[in-house]
Amino acid sequence: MKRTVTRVLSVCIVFFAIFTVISVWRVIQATPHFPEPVADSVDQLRIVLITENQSTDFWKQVEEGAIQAGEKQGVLVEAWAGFGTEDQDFNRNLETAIYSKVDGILVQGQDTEAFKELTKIKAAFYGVPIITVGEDVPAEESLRKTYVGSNQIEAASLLAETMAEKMNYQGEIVVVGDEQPTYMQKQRLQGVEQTLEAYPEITFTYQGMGDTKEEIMNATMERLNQSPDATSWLVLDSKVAYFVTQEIKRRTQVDPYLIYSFDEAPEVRSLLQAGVIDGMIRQRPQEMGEQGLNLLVQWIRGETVPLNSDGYPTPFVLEEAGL
Amino acid sequence: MTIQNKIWGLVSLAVLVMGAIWIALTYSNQQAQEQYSSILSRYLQMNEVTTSSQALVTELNEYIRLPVPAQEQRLQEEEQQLRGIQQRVEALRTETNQLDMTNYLLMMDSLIEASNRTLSFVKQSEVDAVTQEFNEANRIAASLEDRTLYILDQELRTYNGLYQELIQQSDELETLGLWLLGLISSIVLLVAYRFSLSITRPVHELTRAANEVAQGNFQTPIHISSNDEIAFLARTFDTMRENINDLFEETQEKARLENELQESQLLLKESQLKSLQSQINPHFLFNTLNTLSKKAYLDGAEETSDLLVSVAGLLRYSLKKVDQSVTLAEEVHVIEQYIAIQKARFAERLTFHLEVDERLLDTYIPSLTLQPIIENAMIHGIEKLVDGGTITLRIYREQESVLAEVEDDGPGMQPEELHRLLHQEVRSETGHSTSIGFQNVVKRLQLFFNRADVLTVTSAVGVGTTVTLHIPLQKEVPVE
Repeated sequence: MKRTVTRVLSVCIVFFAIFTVISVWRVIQATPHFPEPVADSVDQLRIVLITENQSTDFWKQVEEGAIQAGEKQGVLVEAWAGFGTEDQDFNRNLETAIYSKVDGILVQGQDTEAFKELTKIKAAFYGVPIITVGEDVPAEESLRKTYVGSNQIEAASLLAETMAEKMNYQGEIVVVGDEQPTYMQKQRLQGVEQTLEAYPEITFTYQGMGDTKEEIMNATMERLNQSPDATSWLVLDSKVAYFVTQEIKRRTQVDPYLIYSFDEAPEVRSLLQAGVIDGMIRQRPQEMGEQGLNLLVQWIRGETVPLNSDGYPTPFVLEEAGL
Repeated sequence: MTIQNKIWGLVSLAVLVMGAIWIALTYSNQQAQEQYSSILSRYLQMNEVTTSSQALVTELNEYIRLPVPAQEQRLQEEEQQLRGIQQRVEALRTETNQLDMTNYLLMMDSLIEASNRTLSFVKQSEVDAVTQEFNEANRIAASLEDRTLYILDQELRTYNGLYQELIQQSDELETLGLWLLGLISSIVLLVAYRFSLSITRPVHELTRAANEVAQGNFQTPIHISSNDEIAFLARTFDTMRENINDLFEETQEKARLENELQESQLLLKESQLKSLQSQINPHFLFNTLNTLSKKAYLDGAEETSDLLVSVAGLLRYSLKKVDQSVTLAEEVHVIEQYIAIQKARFAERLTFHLEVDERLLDTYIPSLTLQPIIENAMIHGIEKLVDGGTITLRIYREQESVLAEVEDDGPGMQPEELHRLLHQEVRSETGHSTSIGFQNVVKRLQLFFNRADVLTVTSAVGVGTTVTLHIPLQKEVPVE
């Protein structure tokens, strides 16, 4: 009797002890880890990357490059991006960053008055240095320190040269861009113009397009009607490439068409793989982010002053279908 | 450990454990409470930033409308308040929100700077600049509001996970509490059980021992293997058992002795009866002898009659006086009777001389002391000689002693024979004696006079034997 009671109770103790230990372990595991408060003074540089559209693959890579470089440099980097194409979000973010007295801003250049005013007046007033990434605005209009990204004129030249060769240096090229071409598009157009000057047999027409699907398709249709012989298309902005090719496909066989585009957007890549597009310029967005951040940090720290105002070009390649 | 200490120990242990658990639970509860409230206070403080910055802009607007010192004072107060909030918000910076929070703090700086610029422009009455700076301040305040929402959103995202973890931890704590309750209950049950055993076991042992003692077994020692009050009780009880055991044994011994005494008394009574019985016959015999003597006398056999009288006298003397002291006179009278009988037997072979100092006849000696010596001389000195012999009894005084000397002229004794006579016990093989041996005589004399040298024997082969009794000279009759 005595032994039975002792044994049963001992078994109970062992049983409960095991589960108690497990439970203690689980409680310790479940302890919430509150973010550690930081010390009073923050000497880490604060840099903000502001872009227009968060969801674009291109800008995601820029962001990635900047953040990675920031970790290496020991600076705090954050990407602020608006949703969609609303300029308002973009400008507001830029303004907030300036009010926040960040140490530097990496920004997607925008060819708008508001942008220019913010960079030129407000940023200068608050003493915030700005470097444009991927897209540029004229230095004199924005007081940007420098530009990091592809040299758009050179990239356009490469495209135009390739197309001219494919066209045997004769025929008509339709250049597609915004109705109000941005500074970047203008640069690209400039590159195309400069190249084609050497080939008098080739003429080119600029076709401006709206923002919506209908507008793009209508403009494409109109152009197809007006220039029925023009089978060479050069798309300055990847965002319209899809709808332009859709419209051409709807109208006729796409094969004889020679279509080249800028920017590696996912839809452009699939068009390239499908053989609808014959080639595209692939840029190095990650490198842009990385280099842009490094230059900004160097400028803030006084290591490289002044920065080359003409910009720091990043490499680009022409990727052609079937290669 | 005493029972009291045991109880104290058990209760203290239980209280201690319960207390420790209570403290731990309270502590963890408080911890969780603090964590909850710290999260909530973050939100509230950030919300205050918006309120305060809006208030600052409102006061600024009022000041532009009505630039009086009182309003400026209010503006200053609003600014101070915002600074205070700024300081509190500064403490909310963490690793994850460092950038956003620093931006946020510096935006407040920008707002205050813009407000101050507006103020100074108002004082300089530069209307355009005032409007511009006020708009700037307004925009900054709006941006701050935006940012507040943004940071709150981020915080919610960060602390949502923490909330989940807190809730999970409290669930885990609840489970832990249940397991712990089980564990402690088991331990307390076990300890209490062992503890109760340690109290009741000695009691059981003691009860068993008491039962044994009650049944009369005083031999088994009581041993209790604990070290408390019960053990003390047991030791006392054991001492009591030992005492009872000793008493019991003593009583038993006494009873045994009494029993033996009783038995021996019975035996004594029996022997007395027997001796009485044995006395009856001699008396009968003695009376018969007297009757025979008278008959012989009447029949004319006077010699026979005398002989019978002598036999009867001797018989009476031997029956009556064996335990008493007698005078030498009585003793000599008995010897005369004895000699008369022996003469009838030995006739001319026996010559008996009696040389007695009459003055010494009052001397007391144990009865039947001389007769056995005479008898001995008769056996050794007369019986063995065909021509018979002479026995002389002399009683005379020598210095302070009375000497009684029995001399025979028999064959004498070899030294070994003489030694045997003096030191051997009463011989039983000789059927002629009156049963009182030589040794008996010696012993009795030694006891009577309380001295060792009461008798000397000289003997020479072919010459004879002389036995001398040394009797101390007495003035009074010795007390019996």
